[in-house]
Amino acid sequence: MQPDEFTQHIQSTQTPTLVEFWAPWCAPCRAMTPDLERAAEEHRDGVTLLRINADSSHELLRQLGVMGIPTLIGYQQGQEVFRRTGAQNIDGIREMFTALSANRPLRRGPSPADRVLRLGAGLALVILGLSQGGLLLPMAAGLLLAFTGIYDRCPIYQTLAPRLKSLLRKWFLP
Amino acid sequence: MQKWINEASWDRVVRVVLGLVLLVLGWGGFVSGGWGLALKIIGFVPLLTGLFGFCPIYALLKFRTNRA
Repeated sequence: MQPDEFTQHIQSTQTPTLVEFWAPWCAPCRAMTPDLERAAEEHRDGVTLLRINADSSHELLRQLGVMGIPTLIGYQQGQEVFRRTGAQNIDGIREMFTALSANRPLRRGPSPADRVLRLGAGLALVILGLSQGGLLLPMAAGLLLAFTGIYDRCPIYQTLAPRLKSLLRKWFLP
Repeated sequence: MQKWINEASWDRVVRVVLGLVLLVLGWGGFVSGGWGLALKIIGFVPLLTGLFGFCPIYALLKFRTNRA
């Protein structure tokens, strides 16, 4: 697919679109296909699935900065709203379709068990540091660990992360 | 589940608890001298590998305790 054809398609459709870049030789793409098709069938009224063969769309891949396949990009009213590279399991794929059809951001943070583990360990380190008269290293490490448990809920992180990612993409991609 | 995670839940919990115990022994002053210093640093290894679910040694040995 050519870039202008793609842009026209994305801009003209009112339905949210999930674009998958794949290739026939790509084993993770093939492994993901049944789950992708199943999820697309479940959301056929709300989301369009557009599958693009990366081998015949080099210019489009270059323009979009797609560095690996499979890559899934969600479009809402012509705007990219999320991007995931690498094979996704059925839950991850369903989450993408649901986020697109409900017009809400895609969240992919730690699981609840991970959150508890990270917050608990972080808190334990902070308490350890405080109990020893304010040791900086355990306290800093504890705060950092605790933050990794809730980073995706932090409004400052949510504001800064996309800007930082877009800056990095601009600097490191031609 | 992310593909790079190669530790089962029980493995992760054991690592976190072990890491915290080592850190408490080191930073809490229960062990002093060279051993204490070693524990202060080494404790972070099981703690972090447990928290993030990825063990580099497992990856090198192509081993995992969770299901692929």
